[in-house]
Amino acid sequence: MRFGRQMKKFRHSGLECKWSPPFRSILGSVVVVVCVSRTAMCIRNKSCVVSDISHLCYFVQKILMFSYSPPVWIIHEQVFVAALDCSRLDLATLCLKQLRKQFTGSHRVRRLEGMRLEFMEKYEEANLLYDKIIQEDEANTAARKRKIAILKAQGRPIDAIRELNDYLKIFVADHEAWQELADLYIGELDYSKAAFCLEEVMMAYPYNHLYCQKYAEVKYTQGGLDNMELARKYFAQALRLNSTNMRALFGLYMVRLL
Amino acid sequence: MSIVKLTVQAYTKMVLHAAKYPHRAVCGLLLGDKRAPDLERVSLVDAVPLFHVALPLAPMLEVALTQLDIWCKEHDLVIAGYYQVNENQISIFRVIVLACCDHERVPWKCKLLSQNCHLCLVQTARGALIRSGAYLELSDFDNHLDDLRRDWANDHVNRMILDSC
Repeated sequence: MRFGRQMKKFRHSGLECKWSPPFRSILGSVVVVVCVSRTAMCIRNKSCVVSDISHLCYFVQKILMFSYSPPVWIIHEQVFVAALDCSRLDLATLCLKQLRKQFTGSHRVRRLEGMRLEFMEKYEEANLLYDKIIQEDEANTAARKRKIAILKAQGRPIDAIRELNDYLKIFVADHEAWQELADLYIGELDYSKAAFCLEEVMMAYPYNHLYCQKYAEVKYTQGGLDNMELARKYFAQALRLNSTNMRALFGLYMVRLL
Repeated sequence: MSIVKLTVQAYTKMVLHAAKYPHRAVCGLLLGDKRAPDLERVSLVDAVPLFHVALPLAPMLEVALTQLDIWCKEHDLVIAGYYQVNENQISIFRVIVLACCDHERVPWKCKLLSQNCHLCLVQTARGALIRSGAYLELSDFDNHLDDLRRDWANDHVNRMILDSC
């Protein structure tokens, strides 16, 4: 479970030009960036992305050995996560080593170390690592969320729900967490609580048709006259926001049939 | 009813669906041949992958069942079973199959498919298809709802499975 990685767009510029010694002259003039779109990084294409980005990473490392431009390290982090998803521990360890060298003692890098331990199913050690991070920085949300991810990976959804509820009492504005809690409740068939979580998400993102549609689906599943009425309203709202949302179209049709 | 028989096509499509979304629970329906009702054994000829997102939600499930019902009538098939693969499985071959021949006379039977498949042919086909990334070509009903051009009947995947046997 990943709580939404921020994808930044980069422009590719000037790899093919101005390669002149000494290396210092490259620093100001050549910025190697990669354009990685969100769709390219979706789970479906993870393996392609890993193979392409791994080659690009090596290339980037060779060209910009003395450059410390921030985009390179974000790419390292994203390749690390993609490599874990594709079971490429060798590539993930390589990225982690570079990140550790560049950012010693960083909590963000230590979280990645925890993810590596999770991949190897060393959940106890990962938990200890995250506890240490939380001890040093109480406001670190990433480590807390990784602990909940461990519970989910261990197949303990009830414990994950409980921990996520405790987390949300402290960090009420974390809408990603509300979304995750809604999914967990749907998995446990607790539709009323899932609807509550989706209401929190809709308050934060009122113009997102997907949340309206999902809320409508939950209300439809709950059944009953009032819930069907609400479902109809929210399917209609989703269609108003995006008239090509097929689920909302079908949902509106199904509600009117009843 | 004690025997559930699966064709290569049905089994491979179930496994490909699970391989495409290993981090999510997936579900789908199994189709049986209408012309051969048998109370002792159920022969499942095809699998239709349905959802990988929000399995327990009703509206899209009802739409899928309605569409599939009509499709089955046109192709002389009948909805005879349901499969589900839970998320975060160590092995994607832990598929749960619920099959029934005639639910009025015979209750639903639950089977857990294990990796030990009787036919070596199926294992070879399955392995080759997974290695070649054929699961990326598979479209389930969720993919169809996201992009209507994607066909949940998966004719081209059926051809790939046939070619690999």
